[in-house]
Amino acid sequence: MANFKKNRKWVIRAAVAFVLILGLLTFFSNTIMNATIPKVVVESAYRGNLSYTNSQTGTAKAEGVTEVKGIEGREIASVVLSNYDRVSPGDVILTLKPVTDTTALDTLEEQLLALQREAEYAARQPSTSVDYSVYLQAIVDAEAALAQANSTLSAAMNREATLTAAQGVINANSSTAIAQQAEVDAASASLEAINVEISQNQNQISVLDDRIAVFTTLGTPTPSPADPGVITPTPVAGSIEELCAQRQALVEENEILQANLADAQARLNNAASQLATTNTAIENANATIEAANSLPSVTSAQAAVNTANSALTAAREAYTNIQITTGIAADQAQDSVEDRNENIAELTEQIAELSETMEATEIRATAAGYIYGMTTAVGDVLVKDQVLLQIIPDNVSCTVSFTFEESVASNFSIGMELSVDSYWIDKVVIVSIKPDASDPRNKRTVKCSIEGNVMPGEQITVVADRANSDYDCVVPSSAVYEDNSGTFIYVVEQTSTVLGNKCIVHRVKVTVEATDGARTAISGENIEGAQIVVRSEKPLHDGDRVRLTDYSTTEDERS
Amino acid sequence: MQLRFLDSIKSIVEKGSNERKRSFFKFILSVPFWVLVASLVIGTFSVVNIFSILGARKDKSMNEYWQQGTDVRYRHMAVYASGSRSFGLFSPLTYEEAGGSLCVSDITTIRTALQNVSDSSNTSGKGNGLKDGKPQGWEDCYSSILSANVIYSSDVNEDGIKTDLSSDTSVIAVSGNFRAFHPYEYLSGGFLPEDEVDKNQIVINDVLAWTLFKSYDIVGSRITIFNEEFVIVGVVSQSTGKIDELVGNEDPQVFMYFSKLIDVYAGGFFGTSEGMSSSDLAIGCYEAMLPEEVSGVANSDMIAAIPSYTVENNNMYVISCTGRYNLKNIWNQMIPFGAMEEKYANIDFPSWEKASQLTLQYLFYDCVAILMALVLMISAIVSIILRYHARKAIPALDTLVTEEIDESEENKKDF
Repeated sequence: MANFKKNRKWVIRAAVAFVLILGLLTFFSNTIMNATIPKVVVESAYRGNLSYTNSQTGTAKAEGVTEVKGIEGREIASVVLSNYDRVSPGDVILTLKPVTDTTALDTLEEQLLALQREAEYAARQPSTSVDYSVYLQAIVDAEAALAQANSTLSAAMNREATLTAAQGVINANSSTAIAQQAEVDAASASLEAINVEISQNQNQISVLDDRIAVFTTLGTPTPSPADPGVITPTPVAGSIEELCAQRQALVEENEILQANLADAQARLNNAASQLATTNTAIENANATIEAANSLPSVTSAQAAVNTANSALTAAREAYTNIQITTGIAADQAQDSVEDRNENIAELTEQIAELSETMEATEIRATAAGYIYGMTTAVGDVLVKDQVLLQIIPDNVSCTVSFTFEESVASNFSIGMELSVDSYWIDKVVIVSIKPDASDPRNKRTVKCSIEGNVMPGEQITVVADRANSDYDCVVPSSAVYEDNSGTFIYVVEQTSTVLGNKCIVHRVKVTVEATDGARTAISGENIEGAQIVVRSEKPLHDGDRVRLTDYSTTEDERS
Repeated sequence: MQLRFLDSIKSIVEKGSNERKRSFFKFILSVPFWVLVASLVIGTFSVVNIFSILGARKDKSMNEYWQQGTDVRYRHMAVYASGSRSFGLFSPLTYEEAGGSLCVSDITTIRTALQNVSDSSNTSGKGNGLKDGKPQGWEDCYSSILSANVIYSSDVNEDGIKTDLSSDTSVIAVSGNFRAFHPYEYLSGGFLPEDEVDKNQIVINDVLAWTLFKSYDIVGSRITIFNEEFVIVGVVSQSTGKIDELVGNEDPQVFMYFSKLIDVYAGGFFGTSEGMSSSDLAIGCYEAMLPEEVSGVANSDMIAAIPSYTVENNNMYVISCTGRYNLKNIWNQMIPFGAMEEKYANIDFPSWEKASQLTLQYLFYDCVAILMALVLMISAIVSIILRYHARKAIPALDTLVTEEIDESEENKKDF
């Protein structure tokens, strides 16, 4: 029973909670539903015009402005004049603190001294010249090697012919040599025989001389030789006369033999000479054959020629390179000298300039006019060529240059006035139009004169053209959407339901006729008078339910 | 008397102690119920939070808006590249190296490659080709971010005094169809037209509009940035929640043409020497809406189109914005913790990407919370069921306990 009561209690509690939650949800259902529906702002398309502007901004520059520049490293002691003060040439504008630190000047002087010493030592150096004879000799040697290699190649190429010729010579001379050898042998034998005979005769003559000497010793008168043509009687055998006759015969025979010997010798010499010639030819041919056989192959000889060529080329290159290197070294030395001289001159100039600036204690005006653009203060350290201020003469004329696209500038002409939204400027008139250096094909630099109260450095914006065109349907650009299928707008369709007005958005395809960025002219079906969504909380889909909201209310909420 | 008083005190204390014991046991026995309630609360809160932060990310499904009305599916891809800045955010992003930075000429290369891909998947068989360098059949945009000081010179008042109001603002230089990728709420005017009407047009956000003008209806007003005057053509609202506030969407922002930034840069405004060309400026973000017949192919098309890009490259981040907030992607992005931030630490992400990354982080936490809630819910339900079964098998356990307590009280009284 207790359990039943307990369970009933829980069921009642659960039912009450359920009813409460349901009630809350029902009560706030509209709020919950509205929270999930995106808010949109709608407008009707209206007839209107779009204005086109082409504007550009430039910086005003004054003509005849004198710039007063700073001195490197100097500190401003006091500012005597300020912006818009009138000055005349020579008026003191700023005073500078005296220079206490001469480190910079000392450093420069030290650098100058070092360079001057370097120049002096370089001038006293002995000159060195390069000996090219080694390189030339190498070229000559390489040329000789090349000639030799070519010769070897030629010989190798003609080896067969050479061998054939030599062999022919050998063949031709071999038989000749044999015959000549035989002739030499014969001549030699003949000579030998004659010599033997002569020797024999001489022996016999000696013997006879001995025997005659015996007779002579014994007092037998020696017969004197008969005169030529005289017939002498036949000597008695064994007598001195016979001996003398024998001797005479032998002597005569020897004389004949001597004559024959001479002939034989001559023949022998001739045969020997011929044989020697033939043998020489054969030897030469053999030597030629040997030389030909010892020649390298054509390939090797060609390789040797190539190597010799390369060696010659390398030798020539080495010669050329050494000439170039020597020339470069000479030029470098020359440049070094020139650079050093330049540095010396530059340092000298810097020292002079620095000395002059270190002595300066004031910055004075160099022209008449009024001071403009001064931003320095006491204690500022100046930088060289830093523009401290400008002196603008009275009645200064200012110009300004703009860069326009070529399509826009094509409508300009010299003397044309550009509109400017500035309270202080009366007129901006074009004085020149020329291609822009950065993009000469597509851009134009338009220089204009300015009339009015303008300060140099002021930014000026001009509007090149404003065009207005009327369109039937103009909407804010935020109303026009684009996707893959083209441009469209969302039109709200309101229907009445039991629970109130229901707003659904529908896509309507449109064509964009023109836009100026903020507004867009469109054309399409059934868009006149339609409620077009110009603003929505989030992107919409065709058929989404939306709720209309008032823009002004939203702005108040935001503020 | 004293004894009675002491006895009464003792009985009160004992009674209180028994009550406390009873309450304690009741509490222990009711823990599963409270765990269930807690899991429901955590789960509900996390789900609501998920819907809330996803609802705030209006740019999460831009591909669906782009492809509505056609049968072609599209994927929103984004590439974030790195660069260098000479002096912090007040200088523009400049080109560093191929494969890490993107410049305008890289955009031409990418467009040509992607157009070829798009043409090859064209069912008509005819290639569209780029028209005046712009995509046909798909869409893209690119942007770069820097900071600048904006000045508004009010009109001369009755005393002849002109006041200048200024504000440091984030400048987003855009080109292409930026609006197709970033759906802003327009408070007035519109966005910069894709085809430039006037390079000196500008769109500002509601924060800057209120700071300078105390109004949103300011189309046609002029402000000065980079020493040049710009005409306002629209006011947009970006902030929709906590995440937008954290990433800076509630700070002043302006949108200008990228080509104008090139002109300003080349003119030497940032202290660079004149003659610097557009190739020196880097693009921080390139986005494309690519047709995709096969799911995931747009990712590889984009990677292949980027010049000198490698997957190991830490200087470029390629991400598919479509389907970015699904569970798998959340897990891949967040685990391991901090790995992605460390890997792409040198990329200057724009506010919309920071918002997306923060959204992923919050979604991760919410998913973990939902998981915890589910675990708690399951364990609570199981313990309730077990308790129910135990109660049926054994007489009420809690009654037994309270009976024990009562018995012990009686025993004490008797004693």
